Amino acid sequence: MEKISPLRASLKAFEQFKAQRAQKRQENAGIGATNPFGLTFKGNIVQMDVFESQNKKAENSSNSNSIKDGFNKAGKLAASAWVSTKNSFNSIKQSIISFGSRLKENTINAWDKLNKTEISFTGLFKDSVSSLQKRPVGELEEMLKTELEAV
Amino acid sequence: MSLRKVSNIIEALGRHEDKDAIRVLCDLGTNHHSDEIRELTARALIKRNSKEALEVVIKNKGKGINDLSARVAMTAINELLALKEKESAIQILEETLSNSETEQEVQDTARSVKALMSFSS
Repeated sequence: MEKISPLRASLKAFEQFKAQRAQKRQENAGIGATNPFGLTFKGNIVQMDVFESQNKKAENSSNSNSIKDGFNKAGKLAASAWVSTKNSFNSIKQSIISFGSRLKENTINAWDKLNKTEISFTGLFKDSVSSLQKRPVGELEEMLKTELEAV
Repeated sequence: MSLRKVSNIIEALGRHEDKDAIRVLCDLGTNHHSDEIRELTARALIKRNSKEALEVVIKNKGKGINDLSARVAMTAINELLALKEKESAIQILEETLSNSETEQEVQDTARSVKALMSFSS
C-alpha cells in the first residue's frame, strides 16, 4: 500500500478541485451569467437579463442586421423601462399615501384644537363706559375708591 | 393703577342718570391730589352740562376753572367753551358774579370765562 503524506493528499485534492472548476468554467463560458451581481432597482431584483456577455456582444455585432436581435433588444429595453416605471409608480403611490395620511392627521389635530379652544367676550366689555353706566352709583363709588387708592 | 379703568368709571359717573353720581365725582374726583384725576373729573362734570354739575366746577374755589393747577383749569375752560348748549354755564357764571358772598378770586375767573364764552358763541 502506498503511503501518502497529509500534505501530498491535500495538494492532490486541491488539484482535482482546480481541474473540476476549470472544466465547469469552460462549460459555462458560452452561456453567460444572468445578473451576476444581483443588482436591484429600488428593492426589486431585475428578473430579466439586461446585461450582455462579451461573446454575445461579438455575435450581435456580427449579426446586427437580424430582425430577431432587434426585437430582443427592444424587449429587454422595454422590460427594463417597465421595471423602472413600476418602481417610480410605486414610489409615487407611497408618497401620495403618506401625504394623505399626514393631511388627515393634521386635519384631525386642528379639529381637536378648535374643539378645545374657548372664545369668550365676557371680560372684553366689562369695564367699558356703557356697561359701567348701567351699574348703581354706590358700586361705581366703591370701584373708583379702590382704583384711586392705588394712585 | 389702570388709568383707563379710572377714566371709564369717571366718564360713566358723568353720564349716569342718578344725580348722586355728581356727589361721588365731587367727593372723590375733584378733591384728589392727582392733577390727571381732577382733570378727568372736571371734564366729566362739564360734559354732563347740568346745573348741579356745572356749579361744582364754576362756583367752588380750587375746583374746575378755579383749580390751582393751570392744566386742570385750562381743561375745564376749554370744555366749557366746547359746549354746544352754553346757556346753563353762562347762567351759573352770572350767578357767581352777582353773588356778593363769593370770593373775589372766583368772581374774577368767572368773569374771564364768561367773556371768553361770549366771544366764542
